[in-house]
Amino acid sequence: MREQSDTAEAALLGAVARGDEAAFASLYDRYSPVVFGLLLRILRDRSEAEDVLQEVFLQVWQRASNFDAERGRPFTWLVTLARSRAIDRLRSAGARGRNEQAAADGAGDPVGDAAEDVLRSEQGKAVRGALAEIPEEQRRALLLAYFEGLTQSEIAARLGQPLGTVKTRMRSGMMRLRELLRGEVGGAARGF
Amino acid sequence: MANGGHNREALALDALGALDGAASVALGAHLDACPECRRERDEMLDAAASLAHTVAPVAPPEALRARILGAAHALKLAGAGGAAEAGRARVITPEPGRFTRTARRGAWVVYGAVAAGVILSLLSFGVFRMWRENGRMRDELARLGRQAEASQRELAREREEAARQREVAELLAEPRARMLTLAATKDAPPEASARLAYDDSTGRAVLFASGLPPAPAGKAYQIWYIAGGRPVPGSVFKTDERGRGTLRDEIPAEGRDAKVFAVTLEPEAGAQAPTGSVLLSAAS
Repeated sequence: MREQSDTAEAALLGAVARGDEAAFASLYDRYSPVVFGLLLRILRDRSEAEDVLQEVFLQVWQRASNFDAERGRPFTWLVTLARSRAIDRLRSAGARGRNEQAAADGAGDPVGDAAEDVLRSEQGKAVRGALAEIPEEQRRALLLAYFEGLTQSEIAARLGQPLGTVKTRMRSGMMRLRELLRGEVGGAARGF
Repeated sequence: MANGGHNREALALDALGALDGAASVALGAHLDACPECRRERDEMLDAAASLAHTVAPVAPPEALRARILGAAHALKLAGAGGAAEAGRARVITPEPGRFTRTARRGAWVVYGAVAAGVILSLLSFGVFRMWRENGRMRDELARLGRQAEASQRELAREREEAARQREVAELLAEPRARMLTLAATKDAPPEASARLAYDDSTGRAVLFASGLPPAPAGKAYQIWYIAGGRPVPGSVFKTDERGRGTLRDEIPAEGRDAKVFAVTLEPEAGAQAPTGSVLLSAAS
């Protein structure tokens, strides 16, 4: 599943690992809008998202040499790092309550709402299309885990389902997502 | 566990960050030994990361860009940027389980030391000529000498800061590292707070406190790691006139699975059980 864009991005990360500040600025310009959007979605607070964006990119700056191009994609590495930092921040005192309030206010399922399609990237459309094909029960569990940072037990409690059921659904959902994306992202995605 | 330890559900859950503590540790141990599961987990991570595409990108403010690039530049000068971890690429950061770290020497703030060195050598060159010429010049020299000393002290403080920031960054890069903010209780000034970065697998912790007035004579602030309802004593620290203090600590073994953290004011040498009221607290 290696693509040309992955090779170029891995090279950029390699330059960052060697302390190349121009490469770092390039990396920031390329990825920060997606990362910032993700942080805003998870944290629902602009100043927290700005703090975490800084944390994330400075961590990238200092740890770029840890990225192993044989093992994965630059985008995955960066986004996983960003999400972890955001969830850590979310779990600190007070932030959780705010987010649950916002979720209760109707955060919405990213599937649907055709009018916003025009704002999403090609990749976004591909992934949202894939999500739409996953059974709702599975999709809900995936989104609660990824965007709200809930653990498997918390998801089971939130959905009022047994833990075993939730685990099975999450695995099925991820398998399906991976399958659907193999066709989509491999072909459609180029650059970020 | 059946299937020779393979737990496929855990791989999917881990990629979504949904595993609880104990399950995560168990998976980490298995992944260290199983390349097949590592591969599947990495593919799951790719799928999970693709969910980020479903959110609309938002351009961050221009000022933030300048701050981040500036901070990266400063870190590089302090010997902590990019090239500090030269050598073979290692495993991807998000993988659970420990990975070894080479000891980091960290370059000193070279340019600052050189600048101070230049000032001093200019001064010694000037001495000979000045003494021969004018009495007034001697006063000027003395003043410059004092300035150089002050710069060196400032430099030493900045090196300390940079070293601390590196420590925090290293700590945060550990897969199991956590960071949280302790907030003021009603017994502390409202602006008091502390950021705690810790790794419950190694026990390393770093705390930055702010808004805490300097402790009275004979007293100091102490951190507590509260596990199973029992407060485990951590180290003591003091704050400066700006209300800021730093602590580097090793969490005692019995405090490693603490989920609640607190700061109290105690006798200077620290206490075995909290005597002061809780000033800052947080739960993870």
